[in-house]
Amino acid sequence: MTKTTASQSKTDVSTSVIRQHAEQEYAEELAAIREEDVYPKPENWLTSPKMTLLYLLGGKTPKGKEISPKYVGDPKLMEMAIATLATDRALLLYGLPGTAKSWVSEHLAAAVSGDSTLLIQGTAGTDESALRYSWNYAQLIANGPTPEALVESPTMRGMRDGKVVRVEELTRVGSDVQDALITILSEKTLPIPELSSEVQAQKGFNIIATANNRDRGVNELSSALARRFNTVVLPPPATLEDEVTIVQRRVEQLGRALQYPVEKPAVEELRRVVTIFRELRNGVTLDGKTKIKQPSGTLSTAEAISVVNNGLACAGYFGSGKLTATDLATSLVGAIVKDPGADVVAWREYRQTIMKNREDWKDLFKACKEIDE
Amino acid sequence: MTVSIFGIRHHGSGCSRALVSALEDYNPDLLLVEGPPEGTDAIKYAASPEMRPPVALIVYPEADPKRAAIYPFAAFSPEWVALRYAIAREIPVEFMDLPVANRYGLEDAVEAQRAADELKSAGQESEQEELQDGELVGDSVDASYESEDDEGDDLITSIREDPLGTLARVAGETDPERWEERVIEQASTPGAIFPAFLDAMTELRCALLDAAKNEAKEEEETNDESSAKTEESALGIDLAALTRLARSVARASGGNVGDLEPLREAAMRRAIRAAMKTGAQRIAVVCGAWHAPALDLEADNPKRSALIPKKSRDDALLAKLPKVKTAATWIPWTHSRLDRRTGYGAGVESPAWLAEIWRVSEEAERLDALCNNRAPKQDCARSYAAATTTFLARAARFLRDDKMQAAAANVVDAARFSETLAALRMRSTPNLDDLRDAAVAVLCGGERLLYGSIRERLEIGTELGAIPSDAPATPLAKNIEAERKRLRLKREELPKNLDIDLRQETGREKSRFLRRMAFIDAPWATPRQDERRALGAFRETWTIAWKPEFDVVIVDASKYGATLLEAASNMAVAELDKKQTLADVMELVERALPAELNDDALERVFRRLRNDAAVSSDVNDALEALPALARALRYGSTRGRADSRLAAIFDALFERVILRLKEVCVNLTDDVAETVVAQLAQLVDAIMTLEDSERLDLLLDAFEKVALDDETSKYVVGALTRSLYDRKRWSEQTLADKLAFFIGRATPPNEVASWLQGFLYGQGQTILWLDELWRVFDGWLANLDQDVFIEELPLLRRAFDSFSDAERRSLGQTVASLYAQKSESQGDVVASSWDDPNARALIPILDFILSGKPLDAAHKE
Repeated sequence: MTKTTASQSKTDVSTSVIRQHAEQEYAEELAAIREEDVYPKPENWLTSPKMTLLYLLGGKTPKGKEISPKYVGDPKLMEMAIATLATDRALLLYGLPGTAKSWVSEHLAAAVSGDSTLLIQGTAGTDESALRYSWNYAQLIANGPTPEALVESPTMRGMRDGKVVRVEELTRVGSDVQDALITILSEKTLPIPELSSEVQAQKGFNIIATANNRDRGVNELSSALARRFNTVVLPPPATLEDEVTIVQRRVEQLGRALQYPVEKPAVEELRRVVTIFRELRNGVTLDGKTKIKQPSGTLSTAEAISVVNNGLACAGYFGSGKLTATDLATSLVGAIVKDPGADVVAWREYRQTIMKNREDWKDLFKACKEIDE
Repeated sequence: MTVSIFGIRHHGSGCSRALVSALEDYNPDLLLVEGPPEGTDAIKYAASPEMRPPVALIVYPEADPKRAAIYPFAAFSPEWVALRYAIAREIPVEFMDLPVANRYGLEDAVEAQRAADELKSAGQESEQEELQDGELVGDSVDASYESEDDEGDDLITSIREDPLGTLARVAGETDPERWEERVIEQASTPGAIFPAFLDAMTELRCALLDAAKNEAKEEEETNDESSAKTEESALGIDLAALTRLARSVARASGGNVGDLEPLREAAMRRAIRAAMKTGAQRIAVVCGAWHAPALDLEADNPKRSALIPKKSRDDALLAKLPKVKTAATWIPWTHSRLDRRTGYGAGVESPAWLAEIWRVSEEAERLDALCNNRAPKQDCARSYAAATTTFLARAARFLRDDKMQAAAANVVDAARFSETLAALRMRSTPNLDDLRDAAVAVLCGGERLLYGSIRERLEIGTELGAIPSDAPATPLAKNIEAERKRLRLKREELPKNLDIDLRQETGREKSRFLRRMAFIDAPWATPRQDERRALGAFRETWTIAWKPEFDVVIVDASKYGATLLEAASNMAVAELDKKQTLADVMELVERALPAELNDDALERVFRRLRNDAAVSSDVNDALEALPALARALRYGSTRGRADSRLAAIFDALFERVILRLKEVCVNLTDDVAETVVAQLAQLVDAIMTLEDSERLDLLLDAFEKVALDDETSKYVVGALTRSLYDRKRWSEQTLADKLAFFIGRATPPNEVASWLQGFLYGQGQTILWLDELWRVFDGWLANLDQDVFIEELPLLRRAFDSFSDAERRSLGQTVASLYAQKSESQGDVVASSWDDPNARALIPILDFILSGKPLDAAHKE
């Protein structure tokens, strides 16, 4: 994995890569932070914990450079996450889908180790070799067990180089495979019995795992494994304003990357979408007076972001170049109605009882209604 | 001679630690502590080893113990620390403040004046002259006594109650306790904080006073510049910001510094002046930080002198103040009552945590050593780290108590995590925030809700104080103790059985006593069996177990009365207001009668009952309340106090139920029908216990009418039929006839099943032998279509639920024998066709075969 420098990555944007790694996209910010970093750093960390906090929460460096916020929410949670890594405990980011767990994990890894690519994607089919090591079978058969025949997993690489390893969707991984992490986390060694050797983790190694608690078919962590993690629960955005800010910021970033030929969306449009999502998610209108049926989907912030993005794409390529209600309507309905039975009812009820009666929502209401017919 | 003022934050453990060091350095020979002067005599009890905080000093007017003033002390309260220091060093110590006697005297006078004013405005002048003294009162007590709820007033009050909290807020720290910790940590010597507090308070109060005097806003700019030059005080507080805050607050509130404060500070100054005359060389004054500037009599600081009036003015203020006779004593207190959230103005956020940091501090150890006349231990375990580990270990223990997992290794990890968090947040040691976050992340798996479930135990604590047994008790406590001794009930914590015979006087008194205790929320004994059935009987069985909390509950109840009877009666009346439905009120009546509350309370209770019964026209309510009423009437007759008022209400409700019984019994689903049937059964039981055959007849009449009514739900019909049979109103034949009629009218099978369910409600073997009935029923069953039968099977099976296996078997046999009887009558026919002579001849042979009796010759062929 070659690292592109900041300037190179800028030119690459328009030609090749859809989404850059955090350490590439924010290379400027990271460089500025590391330059001014006078605080004590744990060994093998590229940024001190205090400056990592600044990087995540946004603000100004002592010399005045603006750092954009990566996480909009309770700063305490970020403090806990960073302190966990500094204490050599593994970090488990837990929460509903779409609450920025993977996002935070990526940026943490970028800030601390400068490398967010040591990533293991957990699925039901993930086996031990992804977490520990596997073999180059040709070599193995030809020359027997040798270090050359070993194929390293990201975990092993992270341990050797003292970097942060990310495991996504840990709870989707089968329990027996999950438990392979127990020894790695408690003794910080990876034994390789076939070679009668082991890999001992260098300082700076740590694991950030993410898990969501909503899906079916989830393998809960065994208590032995759970004990070795510090759990930080990332909640959905607390207030409407927070969520609107998040959506706005992400939409801007994605829009820049994907280069839609479209104007920036008005905050009012975003606010409407976010309001709909929040009301349906919580089952009650924002003023708390009317109860609403909740659809079965999660209606997370991430989905709100993608709804707006879809709308922008529609507007740019099929529309007038300005985001309108019609552009939003299809993806909005698509995000809300996931189960064709109960969700349709809930959505219709919401539309007819709430959306219809809101003064400045007439265009959105009409557009949504038209989709049905 | 020096006078040193130590302005503290009430219940601030940081201040306590600093105070110990400061007192050790200053070495006073006389100590004055802010508190009610009436309590000075009681200070000696604090030396007793039985005294264990949290405790409180209670001062109450002897004539009216309900009005009590309470002054709490925790182990970590600076005032308590000061008292202990003085006792250990055997130096004279006194409380200083406006005596509670005067405070209440003033309240009474103001009240009287207000009443007089009202009369005056109604045109009467005679009362006026008597209140000349009241004018002096009017002078010293500001009109703000009748203060409007001004936002400014609230701000002022909050500043005065927690002035150091204000400093914290100005410094940008939302939590005053954390700020206090930080400030004390950073001070060069602990004792240095007190002069710094004094300066800050002076600034604050002067600013408030100035702002009150000049409303003009122009002065702001010039003042701002000059104060901008003034130093940040030693505490790192932005004094300019403080002044600005003070000004804005003062403008909002109109400068009302309000009510008793001038008097209180005058009283404190008087105490200090008196102390200065005793010849003591180093006087230490421990008071709330707010008052510190006003007590610095030797101040050469011009700002401060402005706050201190001349002695003559003080004397004038304090002369001829009205007073009432008061008494003072100690009472046990709890940590939960120190919680700010309970509304206690000087409350703190987490008493258990503060107690913990105090306990492990060096200063606490030094004070302990001083009090116990030994050398202080140089324990390495006594350190701040010990407090954090203890906190987390307790969290783990509470989680385990709740059956959640919390490994010991996690406690270690949590402790390390909290330290890292603290470092990240630029603190040298973890504070409560860090510990909370660590507990949530490591021990609770990220779930704040889980932490919430242990938060109260962990942060507030269930600590209960103790007072020495020779300390004088509150009147209510005295009364209860006297009764307890007389009735020979021991204060034991282990539960025991207690049997009471109501036929004896002592038994009745015990029962009364225990029930009254239950009314004041101290349920010393709980009834062992279903209390209701025992109500009419003469024996009561209780389980009795004393709980230490009762001491505190008794103190709470003191404001309801000075004797148990009074307190219980008043609390019952208070409880009455919260009751909503007729049945609830009735439940209160059931408890109030055996407790034999005073006439006033009973009168009110009955009045409420009567009103509710009259107002509510709901038959359901009446039905619900009737059994309890009947029981109460029955109880009245056993204990010799039948009550005509109750009888009248009973009659009224009974009438209502009789007339409108049908309303309750129509259109019911099976579940609701079950509830109604249960209530009716209770009602019948109740009337039986009253042995009122007339009423029973009336009730059964009503039952009959409803049972024969087409619209009644079949479940209820079945139940009523059963009742009528049980009470011998209907014979077995009538039963069978009714059932046959019912079935014969092509009633849908599910209704028959419902009927049967109702009929079989409740136990009773007698119906197993209702042959005719079962014959009819059996016939109906046999004639059902197969699929209809299968459909009704579940309902029918459920109907027999209440019968045991044995009973069901015997029912089966009954039915089988029904057929056997039929065949027996046929059998007679068969038997009569037997040949008698031949049969008789057989008998000897059978005898021989069966028993070996020898045959005589005639039969041998």
